[in-house]
Amino acid sequence: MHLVVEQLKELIKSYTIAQAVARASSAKPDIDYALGLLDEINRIRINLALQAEMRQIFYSQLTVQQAATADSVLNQWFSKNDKAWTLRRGIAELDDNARVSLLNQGDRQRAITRQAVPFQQLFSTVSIGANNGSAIPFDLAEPLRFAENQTLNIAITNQTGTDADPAYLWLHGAVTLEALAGQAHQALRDEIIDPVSGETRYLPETQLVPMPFKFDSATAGTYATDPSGNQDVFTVKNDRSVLLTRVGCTTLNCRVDKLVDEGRNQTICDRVEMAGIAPLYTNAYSTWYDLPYPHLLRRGDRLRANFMQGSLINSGNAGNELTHVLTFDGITL
Amino acid sequence: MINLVNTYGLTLAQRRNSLQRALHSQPFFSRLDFSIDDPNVAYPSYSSKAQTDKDFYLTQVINGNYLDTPTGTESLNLVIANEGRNIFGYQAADLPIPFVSWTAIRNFFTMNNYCVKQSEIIPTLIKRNSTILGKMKPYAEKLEPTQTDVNVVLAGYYPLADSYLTDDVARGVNESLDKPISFDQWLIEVDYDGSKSHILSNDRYARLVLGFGIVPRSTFTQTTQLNSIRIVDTYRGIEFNTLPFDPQFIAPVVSTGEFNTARETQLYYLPVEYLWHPFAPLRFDIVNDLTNCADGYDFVMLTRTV
Repeated sequence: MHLVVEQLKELIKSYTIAQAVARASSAKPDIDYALGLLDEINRIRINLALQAEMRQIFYSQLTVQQAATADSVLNQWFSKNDKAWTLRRGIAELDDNARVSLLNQGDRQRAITRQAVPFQQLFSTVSIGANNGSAIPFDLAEPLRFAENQTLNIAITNQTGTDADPAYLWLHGAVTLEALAGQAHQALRDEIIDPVSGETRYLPETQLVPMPFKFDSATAGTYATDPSGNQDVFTVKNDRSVLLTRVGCTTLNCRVDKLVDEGRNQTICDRVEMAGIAPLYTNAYSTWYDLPYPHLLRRGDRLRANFMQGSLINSGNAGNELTHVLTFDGITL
Repeated sequence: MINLVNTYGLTLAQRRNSLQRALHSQPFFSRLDFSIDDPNVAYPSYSSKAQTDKDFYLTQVINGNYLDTPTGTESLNLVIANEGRNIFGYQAADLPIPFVSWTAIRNFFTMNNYCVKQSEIIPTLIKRNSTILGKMKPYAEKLEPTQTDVNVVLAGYYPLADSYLTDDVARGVNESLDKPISFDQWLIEVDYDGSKSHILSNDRYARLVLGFGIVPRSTFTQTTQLNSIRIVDTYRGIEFNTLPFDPQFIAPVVSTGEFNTARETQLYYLPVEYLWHPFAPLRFDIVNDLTNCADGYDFVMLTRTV
């Protein structure tokens, strides 16, 4: 879907140029060409929005205790219980030599890796702490799909705490909804195209959605506040739906206690290290991490977050009395 | 970026579509300068502005960092002054530079730098005779700016109503379309002190200019500034930029192996393809200083036939 967003940008370039030509010439072929591009743009916008509506992204953090010996196998299980879900990628804070194998423990067990492989080939690594793998998150070769009541088993060996103690895994994925509400398609379409005149209301624009927060204390566990002093930090409501695609932050020495899309009543993450979600904004490799899938923040809705001081994987803390920002990058629909 | 739609296996219809786009547009780069005279002044604000005389579509905001170790204290706001509209639509916070722009120029001796990956925003219309006001200030209280000289280049394109499609150009275009696509690299050797105008002349095939790259011939000094470049199509009278700026804003410096630049590409791509007419000369006005790079550098341009 991220590639589709890039292709959309190219289409919009072509359309803006074709539109200028059509206005200047008023020739029917030029007008038809421009309108054809606009139709393609709108088709892609609606598809992106529908796909985003069908998914609820999540970030989950698993704590991995150290093993007594290198041969010991540490097992982690992850499931979304009665919901179908997809694992897009993982980020890991493990020992350099840790090996991982993945297994889908459903009604029919299915081995995902033939044997344990170095974790660096499955997961990227965080940008603080043990920095021993790819610093840029990469997706799994294919999204791993799990039906309801199917469990992902992650078996880890060689994790004795040499480089990471305790160790962590962060799973980025999405729950797949069974069906959309009946009017969802029409509502999304009406947001883009006037149902009476058939005219396109507006073209997409790049939109940054920041969540500024501040810690008044350096003590670990202290909650951050927004500029007004509230512990619930909100995004500003927008009169247009925004498709969020990427995220970045100005500090990694904190935790996201909760991140919720209030309009959809969707918990995106619950007590997760910031480093498992976003890169540091001065990261030379990437200012942004892609979201597992684009998330549709509907018009009039907002995200709510609570941030906790201190990081479990880094001894530092987020500077107190400085305003930090968790920022989402996206496009208006 | 345009590399997505300029690959080898394009169909004839796709080639015609990209030609249609190139016939009626030109890339353009606009420079904003921010000079911070006294970094010890608490919470100051520095502004620069650019004016557009035609409808301009902004696609990239590029910053140049010349410092050893940026502390990331600066935020950048871009406002269309006539409309009072912030280009990125954010209201709740001043956002650090890396969130609103990508870094073309980085210090080579430390990895503590902003991301150097080229990225684009959705084309944002800035109507003609608008003033783009760029404002730079610390993004949080109690932070003071530490950079003394920051350049920001706004990249985008102008739609052109007139395609300049003469019979000769049409012939060159048709000859190109008759044949498979071919990609070509064009070289300018910059191994001198001072200023020089280089002319690259096209042959009988119409081409699309896609991007540029730089390969140094020796080690760059720390915080290297490669002085300036200005690109003009003297046949059509089209300028790529009015104010000259460091070539590194439009061409990444690829390592010679002496140090790790962590580049992920050998080229920066233009906002839109530029149609280079048959037999047309492209002029590159380059000012260079060998103090920054003792043996100079090679400036390479990538094109493809239409």
